[in-house]
Amino acid sequence: MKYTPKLLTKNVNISITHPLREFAILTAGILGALILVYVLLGFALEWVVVPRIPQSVERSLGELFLGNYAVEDSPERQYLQGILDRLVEHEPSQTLDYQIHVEENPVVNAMALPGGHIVLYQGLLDRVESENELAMILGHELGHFAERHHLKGLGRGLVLLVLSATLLGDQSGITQFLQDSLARVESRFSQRQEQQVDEFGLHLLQKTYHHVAGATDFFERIQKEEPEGPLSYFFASHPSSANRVDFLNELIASAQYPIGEKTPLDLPE
Amino acid sequence: MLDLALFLILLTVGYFAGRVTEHRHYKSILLREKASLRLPTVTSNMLPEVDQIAKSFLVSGSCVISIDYFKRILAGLRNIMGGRMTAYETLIDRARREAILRMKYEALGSSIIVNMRVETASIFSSTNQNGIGSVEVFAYGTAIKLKKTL
Amino acid sequence: MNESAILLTNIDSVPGKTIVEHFGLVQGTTIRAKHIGTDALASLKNIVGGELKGYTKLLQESRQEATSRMIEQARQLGANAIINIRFATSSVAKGAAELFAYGTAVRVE
Repeated sequence: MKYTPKLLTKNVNISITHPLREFAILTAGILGALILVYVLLGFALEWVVVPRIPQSVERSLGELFLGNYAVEDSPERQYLQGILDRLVEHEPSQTLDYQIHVEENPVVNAMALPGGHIVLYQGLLDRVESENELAMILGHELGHFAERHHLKGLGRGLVLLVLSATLLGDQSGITQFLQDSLARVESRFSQRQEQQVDEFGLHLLQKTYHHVAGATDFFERIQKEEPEGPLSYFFASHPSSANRVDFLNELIASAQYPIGEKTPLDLPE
Repeated sequence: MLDLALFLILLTVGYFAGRVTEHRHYKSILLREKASLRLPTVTSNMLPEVDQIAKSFLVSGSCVISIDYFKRILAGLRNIMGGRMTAYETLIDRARREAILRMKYEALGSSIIVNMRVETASIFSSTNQNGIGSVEVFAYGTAIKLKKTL
Repeated sequence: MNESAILLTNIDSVPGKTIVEHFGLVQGTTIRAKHIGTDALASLKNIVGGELKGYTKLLQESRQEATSRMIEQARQLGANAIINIRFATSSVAKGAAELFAYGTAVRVE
């Protein structure tokens, strides 16, 4: 059989698109789709799903989270509960059964858990000097419940993560990336939510005590203790204390709330 | 932040290293294909006359080529959107041509390789279940050496 | 097609024609993936069973593309028929299929 050797002129088995161009197009397309889904999900959750979550569900969610925290009663806890109950009286829209819990931890923090549970850490209690300050902090936490922030935050991140895990597998790089970045992005959003809730706390303070003395005291004190600059707060869940103090002072000035006598905090041992 | 930086570094290293390796490999392949042009491989049974055959023996060549990081990410993205996976095309093309060239090298001195077959296998790396680790191509056929005509 | 179509067989010859000369091996290969919607549907089908129409279509497209690439290579060499064609499928990545078509390019009369 006659054989005619001939060289091929063009390689038909490869494509001519430049890999970088293809990478750019694919990344842009996928990122765009993800952002769209995220935004739509946010709206859907905020306007449709979360308002419809019944109180019973929220309460049982609360039981789940509460497992980690101590539930012993003490005169200290009852005193704090008394302050909380006074605040709750003045905010009739609250329907949850609010409870205070004290954690023996030197951390300076307070948390709002689903179901109406407010956890106060010992470190925070040690630094509070007047009842008004504490009322401001409790009012802040009550604001989180009013806006159902904890449910919104949980909801969106969780749905996206579940979607990504089902479609791509939980070992996929994209799922891991979502897991890490979701924690950071969600805290960016909640900075705005925190500000919203600071305002709520201020109004509640005015309604309960008929003045707003002590609203900014705690944050001013904390601000002196914090050495970090503003940039570290980009990924933190709270706005920097300086920002909070300024924001509250602006609100007090515009609403012209009076400043009266502060009630000292009388914590039983 | 550190994860992202590491990712980008791996991506750039993979891209540039991969490009250089590919370019060099293709140059070598083209050179050797030109040199071995006189030895054809066919998939059919084109045997010459029996009395002209001096020797016939099985020859084979195989090659395993691994993917670089940039191509792996690109293929992952393509897997989501759908369409032609251009990242793997060059990989498989190189592996195949290399395997066939190695088979030809084993059959040096023959006049033709008949009934050639190609088998492809993908070797998944144990740590990363999602993507391909490397491509293995195995080519084999019967090389026919003709009696020297006086 | 501008010229007459290339003859394809998977036997040693083109019946009714004589092979004048051959040009050696020609090969065509392609790798395609389906988008994530099809993958998700396939995962669901894993439960109920049945034909995965999305992947069948994927493999058909791959086969057509691989064959046309092989034909293009044969045309470059000046052949008008390809004999002893073989196909090989392999799974390259999750949800992607690679199809390889190869044969001997010949000129028949």
